[in-house]
Amino acid sequence: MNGRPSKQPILATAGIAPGRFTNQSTWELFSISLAICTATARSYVMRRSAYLVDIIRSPMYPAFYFLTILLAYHVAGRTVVDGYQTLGYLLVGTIGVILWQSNLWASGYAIEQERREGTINSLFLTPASRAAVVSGYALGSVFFTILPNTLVIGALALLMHVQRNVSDPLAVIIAVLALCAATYALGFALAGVFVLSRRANLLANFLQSPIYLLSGMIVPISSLPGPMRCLAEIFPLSAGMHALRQALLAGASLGDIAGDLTRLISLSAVLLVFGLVMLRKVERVAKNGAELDFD
Amino acid sequence: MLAIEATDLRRTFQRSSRLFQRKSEFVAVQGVSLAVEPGTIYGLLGPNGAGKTTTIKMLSTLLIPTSGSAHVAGFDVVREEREVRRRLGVVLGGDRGLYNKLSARDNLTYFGHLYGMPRERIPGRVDEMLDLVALSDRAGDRVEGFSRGMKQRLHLARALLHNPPVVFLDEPTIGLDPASAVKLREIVRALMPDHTVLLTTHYLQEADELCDRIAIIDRGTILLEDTPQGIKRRVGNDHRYQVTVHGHTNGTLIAALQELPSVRQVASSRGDDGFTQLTINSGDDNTVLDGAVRVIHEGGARIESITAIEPTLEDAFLALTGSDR
Repeated sequence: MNGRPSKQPILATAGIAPGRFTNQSTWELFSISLAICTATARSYVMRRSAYLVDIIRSPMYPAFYFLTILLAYHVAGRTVVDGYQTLGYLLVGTIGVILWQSNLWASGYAIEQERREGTINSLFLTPASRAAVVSGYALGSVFFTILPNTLVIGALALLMHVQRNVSDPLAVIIAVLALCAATYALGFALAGVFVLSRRANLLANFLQSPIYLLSGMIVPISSLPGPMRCLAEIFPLSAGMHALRQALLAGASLGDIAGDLTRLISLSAVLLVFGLVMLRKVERVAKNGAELDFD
Repeated sequence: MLAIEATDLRRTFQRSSRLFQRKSEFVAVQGVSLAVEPGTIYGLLGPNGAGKTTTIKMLSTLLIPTSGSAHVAGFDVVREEREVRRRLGVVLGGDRGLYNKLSARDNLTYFGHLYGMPRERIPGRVDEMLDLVALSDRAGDRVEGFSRGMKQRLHLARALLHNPPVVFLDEPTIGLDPASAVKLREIVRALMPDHTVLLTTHYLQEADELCDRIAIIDRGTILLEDTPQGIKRRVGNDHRYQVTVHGHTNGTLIAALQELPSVRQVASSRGDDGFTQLTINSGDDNTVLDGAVRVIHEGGARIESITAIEPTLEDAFLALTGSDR
């Protein structure tokens, strides 16, 4: 200890009266939530950057994934999938995989990550909005995963001369953003569910393949067996994948994909509200059942 | 207004060891009531599994009580949990609870945001806290390389960061070397009178030294609550004297001492230095000493010294909770 701790200087200079927290305006609450979100994103990126293997793996994984599936289609002799060139079809599918993985392992997995790091009690002892923390994980993932992955996939598209047919760039941008929002909303909805499980990573892995199939990321929905096809038709991500493929590979305009986007955004909004409600309810359920600790 | 108030808190857990096995109910805390005045250090003492941590977790909003109610800084821990969290700093201790891949400074900065502190005040406050717990020179190092004592000090800095009026310390000095423990106690003492501290500890000396009031808890129930002196007085109602006599004593002398009114027990131990120690336990300190001196003289022994032995908190603790655990 640097000398004897004095009574007054220790705590009186903080200038943080407990009363400051009460009677906040909506703007103040938003401002605090935004600060929590960006601070969480920063913390998330710093923690993940601590592992060299994560820095290398993160941008390379989708590239290897894309090349593996491409090879499988090549071996099967398929040059056209669902009316699209195989390369283009799988490239869009890989964008879907990137978004899903980033948001599942970031926002969806946020609370589980805290549990595994042993910090969940410290986090839940703070008054911070859980939604702001989960959103911070998603924001961090944009910087740590989505941006590097986009660069790698973009480079692959250029190197492999993927044929694009874009007539409305705005449609492509909006389709990507809507898909991003939908995967975030799905991850957000799962975040609450994961609080209840001490083995959420197993649950997440279990969900991964069915979600790839139902969203048409790597296999056309038209190839799925009857009952699965019906399920896929109503699965929100499938509309997003279809919209992006149409805008990027088939020259569709914003008007052409408006139906898909409306479905996607509506379902995302429902999932987001569900996620918000779940995060509140589930924390209470977890505290009732003493499920917050890892062991 | 009381800083911490709990009324008849009760918490049960369901437990089963196998899948599909019928769950049994385990009562961790049954009917705990506390009333802690602001600006005091209140100790919760008890053996392992007594219900201390469960009580702290309920009061800090991490567990919902099965029944009963509790208020911290005037707010209900179930219905107004966010208000409670804003006014509460908690050290649960151990190796968990900090981001190991972040530095000490980054940990505190992040928690500053989580507690809703104004952005511009966080850096200064973080420096202040690092200085307080003597980690300024390791501020940029990752927590994963810290010793147990350093982590514990950082836990304390995190708990005090947002200047909460109420602080819970759950076994804050467990596993620390003596020097680190002394330093941590100095910080806790310096929190008075602006803060209220609820402290759980295994170290009775620590509780005796720090606490204004103590509750002894065992099997989820508070057995006794008083000041440290009061507890010693109430539980240690035996008066003990150690009488050192020259030479050896015989069975007749011991028997004669035991015959004295109010004497409960006499123990004798012979030393290598030619003296014998007689320890006399009595329920009355007024008459026993006169009688004992007379009996010893009549027995032909010469008294070297007489010492009154004060009851310790440890005596009281063992008397209440039993020494067989």
